[in-house]
Amino acid sequence: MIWERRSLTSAPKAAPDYDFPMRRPERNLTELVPAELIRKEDPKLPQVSQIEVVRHYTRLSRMNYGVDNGIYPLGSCTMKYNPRINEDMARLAGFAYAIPCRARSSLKGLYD
Amino acid sequence: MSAFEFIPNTPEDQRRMLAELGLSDVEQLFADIPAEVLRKFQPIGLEPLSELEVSNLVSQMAAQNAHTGQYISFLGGGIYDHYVPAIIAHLISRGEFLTCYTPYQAELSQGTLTWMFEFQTMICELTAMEVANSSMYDGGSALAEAMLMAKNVTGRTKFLVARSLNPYYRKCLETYAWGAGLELFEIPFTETGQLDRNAIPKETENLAGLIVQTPNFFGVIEDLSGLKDLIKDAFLIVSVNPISLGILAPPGLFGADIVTGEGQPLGIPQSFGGPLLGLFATRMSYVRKMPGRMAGRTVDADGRIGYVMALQTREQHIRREKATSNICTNQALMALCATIYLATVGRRGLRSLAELNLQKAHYLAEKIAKIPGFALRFSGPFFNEFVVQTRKKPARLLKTLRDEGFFGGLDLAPYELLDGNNLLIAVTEKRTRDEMDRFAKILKGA
Repeated sequence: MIWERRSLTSAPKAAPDYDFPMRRPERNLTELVPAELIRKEDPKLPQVSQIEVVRHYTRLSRMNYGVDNGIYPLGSCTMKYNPRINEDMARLAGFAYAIPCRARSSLKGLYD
Repeated sequence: MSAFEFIPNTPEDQRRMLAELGLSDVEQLFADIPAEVLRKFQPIGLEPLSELEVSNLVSQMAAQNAHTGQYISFLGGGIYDHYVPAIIAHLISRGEFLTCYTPYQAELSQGTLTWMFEFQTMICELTAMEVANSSMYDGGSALAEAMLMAKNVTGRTKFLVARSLNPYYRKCLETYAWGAGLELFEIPFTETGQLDRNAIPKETENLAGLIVQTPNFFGVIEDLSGLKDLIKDAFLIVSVNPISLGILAPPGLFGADIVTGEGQPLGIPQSFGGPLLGLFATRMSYVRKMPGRMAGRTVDADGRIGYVMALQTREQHIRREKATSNICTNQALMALCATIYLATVGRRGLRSLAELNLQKAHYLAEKIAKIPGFALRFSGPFFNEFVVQTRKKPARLLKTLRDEGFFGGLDLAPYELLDGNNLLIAVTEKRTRDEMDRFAKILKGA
C-alpha cells in the first residue's frame, strides 16, 4: 500500500498560496469557524513525493490484466476495444471543463 | 477490413465464424427476435468516419461550449472547479487500469483490488468512519442508497430531510423513496443557514433517519453535535464535501451512522456533471447491510498479503432480489482518480488546500458584503461557498460578469428555497486575489 512508501517530512504544496500565505493567514481560522467544528487530528493520508506516487500506481497497474494485455473472453461487461481517440475527445477542454446548470446557448456543442 | 477501423474482425473472420456455426448470414444470429420488434430498430444512418474526421468534428463540438478553462468560475452547487494534478490523467490512462474487467478474478486484478483497499482506507480516514465501500455513482445516489440502508437496518420508513440539502440530491431521495414506500419530512433552516434543530420532532416512532449535508447546499457548515441524541436510535446520515474534511471535524466524531459524499472535488474534471463519484462509509456493525462493493485484505496459501472482493453475498451478482443494492460495478476509474489525488495532495497538503479554500471564500464574501445592495444571506459559518442576496436581477448580473470573463455563480431562483434574488458563489484554491478583486469591482459597478 502507498502508506508503506517513504514518508516526506515536509508537506508538498497542494496549491500556490503566494497571495494568501497559509503560514501567516490574515484571519485566524477560529475567527471564521467555531473551534469545535475544526478538525483536531489530520486524516492519516499518505505523505509521499510525487515520483513515489507514480511508481506505486505504475507498479499496481502491472498487477492488472486488461483488454490491452490480451483477450478477455467475458461477456457481461462487453470487454471490447474502445478506440483510444475517445479518451482524447472526452478530455477536450470544451467537454472536461463544461459545467451543468448553464444556459443551453453556451453549451451548443453538448446539446447538439 | 470492416467499415469501422477499430473493429478487428475482417469479413473473412466473420465468414469463418458463421461457417463454424453452420450459418450463412449474420442476420440469422438474430432470427429469434420477433420481426415486429426488429422493425423498431432501424439503422440510425451513421456513416463510418476516419479518425481524423472524427477528431475534427468532435473538436468543433467541444469548441462551442463555454467552459471553466476560458472563464474564471465561481460556480459550485455540487460540482467544483478545483485544480486537477496532471499526474492523474497520466496514471489512470495506463491500459492495465483503463481496460481491465471488474475485479472478479483476484489473480488478474491485484492492482485494482489494492487501490480499492487504499481508497476505502482513505475515505474512512477522511470521514472518521470504520468501513467504506469502493464507490457509488455520485453524491446524490450515494445518499439515496444510505436512506435505503437505514430503512433496511431499522425496519422503519420515516425520514427527516434538511431543506438545505442540495435540491438534486433531494430529487434522488424522492425517487428512491417513491419506489421503496418511504416518507420524507422536511426540516427547515434558520437565519444561520443551519438546520433548525427545534423543528426535529420529539416523537421518533417509526423514524429511520435524519439526512443532513455539511457544508450544505448554501455552503453553510452544520453543527452536528448532539443531533444523534435528538433522533435516538434512528440513523444520522451526513453528506459531505471531501475537501472540506481536510479542515472540518469529520461526521464520524459526531456519531454519524452513514457518511456519503460527492467525490468530484478529488481530482475529477467537471465534465458537464459526469462521470462523478459517490462516497459511502458506515460503521463496521452495519457492514453486511452496506451497498456497493468492497475490497478486503487477506493472505494466500504461502502467507503473502493479497486483496480480494469481500462480503460479496451482499451484491446483486450473487442474489439480485435480496441484494443490499443493485450498484456493483460503477465509477472505478473515478475512484482511482480520487485515490491518486489524495495520495498526491497528502495529509498536510489536504489541510492547507482546505484552509486555502476557506480563507479565499471568506475574503471574497467580506468584500461583496461591503458593496451597497449586496449582503450575505446567512450568518452561519461556511467553507468555500456562500449565498449573496442582492437587489439586482441575477440574470443581468451574470450576463455582465460573463461579458467580463467570469462565471458569476448560481442563480438560486429556480430551486425555490429562498425569497428574493440570491446567488450561490463558490471559491476554490484556483481563484487568485486579483480575480476576486476584479469580480467584486464588477459587482460594485453593475
